[in-house]
Amino acid sequence: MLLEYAAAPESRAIVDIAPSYGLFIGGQWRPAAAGAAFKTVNPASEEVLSEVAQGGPADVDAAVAAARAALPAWSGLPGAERAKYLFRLARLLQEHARELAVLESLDNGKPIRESRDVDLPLAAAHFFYYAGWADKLAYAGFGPSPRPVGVAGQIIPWNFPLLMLAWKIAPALACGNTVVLKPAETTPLTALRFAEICQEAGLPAGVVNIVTGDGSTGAALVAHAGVDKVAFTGSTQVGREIARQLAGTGRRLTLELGGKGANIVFEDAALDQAVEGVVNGIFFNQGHVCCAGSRLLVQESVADELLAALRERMATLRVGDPLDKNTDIGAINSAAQLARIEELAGAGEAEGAQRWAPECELPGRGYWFAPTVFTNVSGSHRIAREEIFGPVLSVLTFRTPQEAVVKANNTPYGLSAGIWTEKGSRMLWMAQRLRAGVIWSNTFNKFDPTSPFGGYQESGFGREGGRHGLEPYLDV
Amino acid sequence: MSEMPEVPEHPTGGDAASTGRGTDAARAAGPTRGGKPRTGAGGTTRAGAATGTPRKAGKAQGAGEAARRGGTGEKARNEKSDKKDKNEKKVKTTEARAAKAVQAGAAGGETPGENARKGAPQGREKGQEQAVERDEAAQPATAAATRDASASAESPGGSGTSHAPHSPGAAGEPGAGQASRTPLLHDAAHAPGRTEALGVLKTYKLFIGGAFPRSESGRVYPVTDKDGRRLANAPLASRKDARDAVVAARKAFPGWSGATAYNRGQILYRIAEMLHGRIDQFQHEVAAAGGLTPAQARTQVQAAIDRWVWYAGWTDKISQVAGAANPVAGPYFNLSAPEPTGVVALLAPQDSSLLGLVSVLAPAIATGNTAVLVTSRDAPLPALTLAEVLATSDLPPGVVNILSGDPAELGPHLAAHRDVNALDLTGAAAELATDLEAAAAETLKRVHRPRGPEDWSRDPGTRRLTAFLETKTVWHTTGL
Repeated sequence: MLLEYAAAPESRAIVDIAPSYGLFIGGQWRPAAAGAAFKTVNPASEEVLSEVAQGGPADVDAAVAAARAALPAWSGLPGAERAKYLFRLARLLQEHARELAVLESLDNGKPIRESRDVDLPLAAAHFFYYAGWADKLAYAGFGPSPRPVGVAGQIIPWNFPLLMLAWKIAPALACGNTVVLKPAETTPLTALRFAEICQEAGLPAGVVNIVTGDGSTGAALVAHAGVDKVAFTGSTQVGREIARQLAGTGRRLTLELGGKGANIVFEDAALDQAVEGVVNGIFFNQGHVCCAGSRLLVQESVADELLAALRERMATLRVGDPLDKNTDIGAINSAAQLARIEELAGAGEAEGAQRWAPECELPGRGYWFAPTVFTNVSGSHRIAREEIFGPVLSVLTFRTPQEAVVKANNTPYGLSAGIWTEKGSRMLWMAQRLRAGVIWSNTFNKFDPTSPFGGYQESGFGREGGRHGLEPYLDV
Repeated sequence: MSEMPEVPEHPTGGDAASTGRGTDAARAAGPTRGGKPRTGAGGTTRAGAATGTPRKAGKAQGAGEAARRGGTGEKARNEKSDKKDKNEKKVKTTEARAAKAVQAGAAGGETPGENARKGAPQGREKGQEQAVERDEAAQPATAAATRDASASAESPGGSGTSHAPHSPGAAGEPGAGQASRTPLLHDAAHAPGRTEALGVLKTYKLFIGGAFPRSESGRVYPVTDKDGRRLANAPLASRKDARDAVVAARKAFPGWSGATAYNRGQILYRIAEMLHGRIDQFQHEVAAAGGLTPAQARTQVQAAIDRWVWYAGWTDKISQVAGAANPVAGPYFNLSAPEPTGVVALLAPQDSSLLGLVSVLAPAIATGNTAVLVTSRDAPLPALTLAEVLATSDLPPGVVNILSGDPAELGPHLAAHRDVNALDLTGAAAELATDLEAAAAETLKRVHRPRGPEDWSRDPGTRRLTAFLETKTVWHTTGL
């Protein structure tokens, strides 16, 4: 039963979205060379927010050239000076945090509570953390004076636009690299605002370049011979293509791709907390999370009890206006993504799994999907194998820990896993055997700039965060 | 000064430890001091004072005061005598004199200059001055009583004035007579015939538990620049001050060490922000403290700011560099992580009034320790001003406590203190350092003793970070 809350909308007045944006190259704003542009919409209302430049090959070329031109001075700066620029960026992100959070929710569709309480604080924290490494690289374990790689081409996804930007730019700059960053097609606005913040910080021209566009823009950036290193976060499918493209070029690559994380609940788990963890694991950010706990593996003996509690909890989730502070689940990011989710959910039913979603009044306009759970799922079902990237949970059961390990590892992915048990030794035993780059125990979806993040196998390679996050950006 | 007697470490309450307080005899004499003999000053009337006989501080005054007090061993050399001299010089016009006369009339017929040299008997003006020092409203002529009553309103260590005589390095000091004639350097601009307003000179205080008390002993000592010119007085911290500082540091430790490393980093960065905001002020202070040119001082201050930024960036990284997951030969999860040791007593370098001090202080607190820091004896002022920066940086009270004074006096107490976990001997001369190291052995303190002079401009490395860390290793079985 849903309690009646009064609406608590966060005001939009704090943001000032321009009717159109150019590309940010060499410290300057300019339209796309070919003059093309595209619209970005608010997925909760389908309202057009702004018109954004479509970067073509000439623009990518100009951006790479600007990054290359800025490289000697930037990498030649004493680390302490680079540090101070990055600290400025961190402090400015903190100062503008509310504005950026509202902008992110408008452009992405995620609830304001998440953008305010997770995305923005973490983004600022990433800059703050890596700022501190800029003058301490000698202590990072990569040799006495590690050099930067050079110009980094960075392509980021739409699920955590500003946070992914921070994960990419902060370590790159700390190590002395310059960057060309391509934000996702559907979520360019916070990256463009970040470019203005770079100007506010006095960041030297060309150190950060933002080129907006669609997949073709990203492809041009990956293919550009002037880029020394590519960092990509996105789907496994595109990651494969990038790896193919760079084969033999000697250019460095890190990939952070999809996942099908297993959230494993043992019979001795604290059930209420496990329910919260499961809900957080798959419904946080509408399930648009590479490390989402999209498979629930529950020990048979407590399956019924857990599922009953889970359904009861799901029925209290609020789907609605992302800017309303009561909202738990926001809008799906785009029509295309909504179509994909619906297709896979349909496949789940078709293959024989049992679908359940709470009664949910969805708004008329915008892209919405109610939180959904599938039971009676077999490991061969599409919804157990393919990443849905939406608020859809697939439930499987197990009897023994060894079985849980086998089932959890039965995936080409290997990004994340969750373990719910009160027994520490069992948790550690499981953690040692799970083939996943991030393992949460009695919690889920916890991130920190000091904590390395990345996957096994087809979830990608390389780590972001922590001391390990420096390595991809150093010539070591 | 030949006539400077010893000062007892803990002047008793009845003694006029603070000249402003006045002796019982003085109080008994009432607020008007007209009857007290003045040596060398001529009469007690305004007219007499106004003839402007130059005051000779020092010998005559001391004798007179000793006679008045009947106490032993206290030299009522008034550290503010300089200012009074300057005041005196300003009183050149009849008009000005008349104004002073009105003021001093209530004080019972003494000139400001005379007041300045007095020990016990304090005129109204003096009382007002005292009150102003303590940010209280000016009190009427029963200034002594007021001061006694209000002394408790100040921080515990304060005794109400800063006029206790004596300085640790008395032997080497310029004669009080000469020094007393020199205006305080802050006021160097305010030469006779000035048109600007008189400067409101800062009283330098200790920094304990987030507050700014005077020394509980009531003692101060003059701080001079390298040419011997008076800069200001600094509190001469006592054993009790050190005790209070350790209590404050211990109280602050759970909160500070329990804060996230990120939070500590933010606060250290904020300290850099605040210090940067005062870069000009510190440039001036550091130049005066160290006899540096403005450019040299600027470099030092900028380096001190950068040093705070350096350590702000270490708080959330030292664990990754100094910790480890250990691959033990068995079914165990084994993790070593560094933790702060507790309360650290730091003797700041004698010869680097800001940069060296920051280089010693920042690494100690970056990792979660709390600190009791003894400043350079001869150049304490930048450190005491730094306390103001710390107080406005969201640094929790008690995380840093700053005591100005003599490391030879305070060091032994801190080294032997059973609630101090570690000791940094940077500011101790070789022989003292050895003594302190021996004293610290009793409680097996972690002692950091640098080998030789340090170049504060160089990369500090991690030694000062790890010196005050304990490594905790935890084992956990892995198994179903």
